[in-house]
Amino acid sequence: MATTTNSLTLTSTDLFEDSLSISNTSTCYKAGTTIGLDQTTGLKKTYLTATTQIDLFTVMDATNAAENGKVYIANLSEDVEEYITIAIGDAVIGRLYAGDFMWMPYSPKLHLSSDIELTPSVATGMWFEYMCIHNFSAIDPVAIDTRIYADE
Amino acid sequence: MATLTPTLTLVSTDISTDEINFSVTDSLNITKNVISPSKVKLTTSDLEIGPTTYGKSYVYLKNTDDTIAINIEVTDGNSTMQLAAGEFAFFPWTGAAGIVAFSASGTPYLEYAIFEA
Repeated sequence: MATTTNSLTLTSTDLFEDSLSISNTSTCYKAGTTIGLDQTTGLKKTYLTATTQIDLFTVMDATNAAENGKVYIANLSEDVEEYITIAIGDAVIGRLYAGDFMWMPYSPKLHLSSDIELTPSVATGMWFEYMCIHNFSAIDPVAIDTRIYADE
Repeated sequence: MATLTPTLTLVSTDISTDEINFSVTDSLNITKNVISPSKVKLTTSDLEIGPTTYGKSYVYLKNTDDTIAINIEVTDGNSTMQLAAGEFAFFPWTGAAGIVAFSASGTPYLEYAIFEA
């Protein structure tokens, strides 16, 4: 069993009259247990050169229904106009602009044939990075676009 | 205009040979509406926590229950995530579609905040 700790803080000194300070820490567990998630994609850095929508991971199926993960995605662009559109289950949830990141649980049992989908706003090249802590039986990037890995 | 600073830290010494010790932070300009940290008791019926009147925003969610999972839908009917007991999330939101929360069972509490950029 592995132990992976995730911490999220949100702070602001000028949002309210009182300063904002939210702090959370938890351990990444397998769904419904206190057994730690034991696999990771590692931190992957990818360069996208098309505005084609990509799946972050291979599409899950019913065999993955009892598995779960936690996903980090960040837009590494430094151009404030560039963004990555994030969709889950074919519904757009939001855009990650330059420097923005997100962190959320991912549950194939909710999605099955759907997935986490990314669409860059420009085809001139955008870096993004992601990491998943999980217990999926199979998880690989989908080679349906023109992505180029940083170490290639 | 105000600044919201989110920071995420991931640490593991044993998930792989190469330890994870990772931290990322951002500086977000918040210029419009804010739903300050709030806490609601959920049921198995839909509760809209993210109003469709919001534009580009950032959303914080935390399931404060010890056992019960909470389902989140961005666009009603579209399963987006399930927050297990104690889990939290931070993500961008278009604001075009509402955010709906409901419990997998029982009446867990959801803590949330929304920051419109």
